[in-house]
Amino acid sequence: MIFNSIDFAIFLPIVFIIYWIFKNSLKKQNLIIVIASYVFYGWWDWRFLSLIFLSSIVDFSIGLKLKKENSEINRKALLWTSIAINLGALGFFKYYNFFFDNFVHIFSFFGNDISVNSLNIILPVGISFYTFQTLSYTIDVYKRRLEPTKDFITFSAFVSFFPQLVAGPIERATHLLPQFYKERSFEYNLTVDGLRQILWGLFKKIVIADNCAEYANWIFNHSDHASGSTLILGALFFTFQIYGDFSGYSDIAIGTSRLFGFDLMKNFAFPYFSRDIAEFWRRWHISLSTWFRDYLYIPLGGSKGGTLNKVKNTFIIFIVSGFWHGANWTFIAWGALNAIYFLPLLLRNKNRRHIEIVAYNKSLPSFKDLFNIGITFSLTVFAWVFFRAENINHAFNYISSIFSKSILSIPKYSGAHSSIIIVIITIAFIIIEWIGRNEEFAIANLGTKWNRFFRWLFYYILIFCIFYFTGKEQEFIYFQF
Amino acid sequence: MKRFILHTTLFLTPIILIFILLELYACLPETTFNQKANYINKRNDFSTLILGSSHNQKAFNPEYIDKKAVNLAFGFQDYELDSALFNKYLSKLKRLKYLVLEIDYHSLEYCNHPEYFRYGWYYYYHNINLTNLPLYYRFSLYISSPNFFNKKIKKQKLAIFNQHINKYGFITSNNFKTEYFSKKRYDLEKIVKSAKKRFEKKHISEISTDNFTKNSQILEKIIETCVEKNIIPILVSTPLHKSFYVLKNKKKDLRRKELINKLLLKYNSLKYLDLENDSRFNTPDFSDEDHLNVTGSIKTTSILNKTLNTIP
Repeated sequence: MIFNSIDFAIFLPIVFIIYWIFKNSLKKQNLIIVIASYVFYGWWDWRFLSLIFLSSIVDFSIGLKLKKENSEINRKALLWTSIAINLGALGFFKYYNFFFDNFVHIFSFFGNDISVNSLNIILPVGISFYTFQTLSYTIDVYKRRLEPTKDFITFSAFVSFFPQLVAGPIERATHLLPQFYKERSFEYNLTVDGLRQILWGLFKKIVIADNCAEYANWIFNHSDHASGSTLILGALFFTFQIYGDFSGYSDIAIGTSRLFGFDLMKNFAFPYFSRDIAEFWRRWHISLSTWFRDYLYIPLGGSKGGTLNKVKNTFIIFIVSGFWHGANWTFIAWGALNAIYFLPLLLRNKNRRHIEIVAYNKSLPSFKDLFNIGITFSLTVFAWVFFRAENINHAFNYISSIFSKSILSIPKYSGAHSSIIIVIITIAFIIIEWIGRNEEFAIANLGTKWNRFFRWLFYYILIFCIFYFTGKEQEFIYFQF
Repeated sequence: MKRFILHTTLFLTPIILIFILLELYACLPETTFNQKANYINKRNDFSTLILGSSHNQKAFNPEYIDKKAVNLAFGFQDYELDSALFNKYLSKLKRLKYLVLEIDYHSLEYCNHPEYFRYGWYYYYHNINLTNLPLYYRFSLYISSPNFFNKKIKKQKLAIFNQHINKYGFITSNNFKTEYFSKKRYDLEKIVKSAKKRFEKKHISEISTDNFTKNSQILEKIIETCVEKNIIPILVSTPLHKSFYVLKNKKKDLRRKELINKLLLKYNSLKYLDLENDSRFNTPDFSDEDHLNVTGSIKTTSILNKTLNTIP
């Protein structure tokens, strides 16, 4: 089931009503969440429910054993069992064909042709997300940062919690699991806030992302014959597509959890207003960046040690992060490119210059901030070309075609005329995001002090745009990861 | 909670009202699709059922058929949909004696994509669900294809609703906005020039065996059912304009003809009406290269009527 579907529009109110009918029974509420989550996931393909169940049962059992076990060797063995099972499933479903195909290529390169076909493996939706979430539980229990739960229903609810099951935010057990133990009471303001965030997420996904996707897809699919200016526009369309798509999904996920009294971590904090790449990575897909920081970068030694160690760890974390996104060299190149962007800041100790949001408590940025935002945004757009390209050759051809004489020509692409309205709406969207950049999400406070007529009118306009600009439905990009 | 329920209800009321209006916009106006569905659902005394794509849709007006006939042919209706409609109405139409099926140049080569938007219409009007559509599509036409209706609203293109449709769901007026040949003033020279372009755009594709095999099997299954139920199947190749006829791919055409011959040999009761290159049809009978206009439809219907009357 996807968030921007009628199925979900029917499913959500039903679960919401049943859930709050049992407001006096925490156990029943958790059980409702488990059932709802399994229905939500099974709607896509019920066969893969077994993977979530297996992941839940393995980590639940290992968690309990880790609590009882005192021997460090046995504890380590338990931890590695969990890692092997979780990453084994992820590796098989997501990376088997990648390694297999590359293995065959290498052999062919040395003159040994292997005539075997790769397997037709379906990638289970969200496997990269829930695998990392359950791993965080086992690692935290192993590190004694968290008491393991003895309640399997609660643990299953934590693993399969439907708002964030298939595309995050990747929650840390230390943050989400305790919320399942606490009694939850219905709060009007929290619920309305959740609905507002859902609305904004749908706007980002349906109006911005899906419409930008149409033009981005066309330009990337016809990049061989497109002018430099058209290709730049294609990369820009993709830049807003991926942001609208993924941050829109996160907004819907966070908003939906609020309806059930849960607080999920912030996943995006207006990343395109970043003044350097380090800031961008603190604001983009925060739950993944912090996961890698806590469970990979710091255990590797982080930024401690000599320059060589810093360089090595930075490349490892960015390349692994790229590879997490997909089994393709393009994602690895995208990760490596970001490492190259990031390293100069780290080596000069300038990676934590911009912690606060730009122009905090001001209306407009300074000229220097604006310049830095422009540079960072351009670097990001450039890197997205690798992320979106079909393969490395496509990415290089795309980039080399940008830097030609045709860079100064008028962009030409299918639907150029009708895209003007989408460009105008995207500009309006950027302005709203700028106004609301100090908040949890862009419209968290927008209009809250207006009288009801104007506030509701604003929401109706957003709803109208969602219906009016419903284009060809595009799947959430991050579902494939 | 009470406050939340009250405010949510108040907030959603206008949205629900607008949705109801959209639904009414989608399902209320008389269209050729809903007219046909209503017509067949109201009666069960038909002896002739016509299926097929837009070619048969535009070729046969039940008004001019002596026997009680219903034409359920519609644009992009492939054999799978034909078969589903036939099986759906078979038990209802106890007096059904003739089944008219299309076997045109494209018929065996074409299969709808699983996401074809009109599947929802077949579910809504005929209760035929070929692609596991959700249950709510059965109750809302707008939800089944919002993009289609939104586009209609955006463009304010209500032409489809303005066409004159008779009680059989047949369009009885030439709609000059879509009648391609009338725009060319039936000038043969201009038509031949542009026909090639249109043909390349619409009909040139790789010769795939998948669609052909699938469609051949469905077609034969329909004929077998007809034979079992004592219904006479009639295959029809509708007239093609000469500018189109000469462009046909020979391989595709040959395998279609081979199949027709094979079926005619195998099933004695099967009839074949080949009007594809019939000299009685001239440029003013066509709305474009492969669709007849109202004048042309009167001719084809009269030919079919004669055929039906000669079958004992």
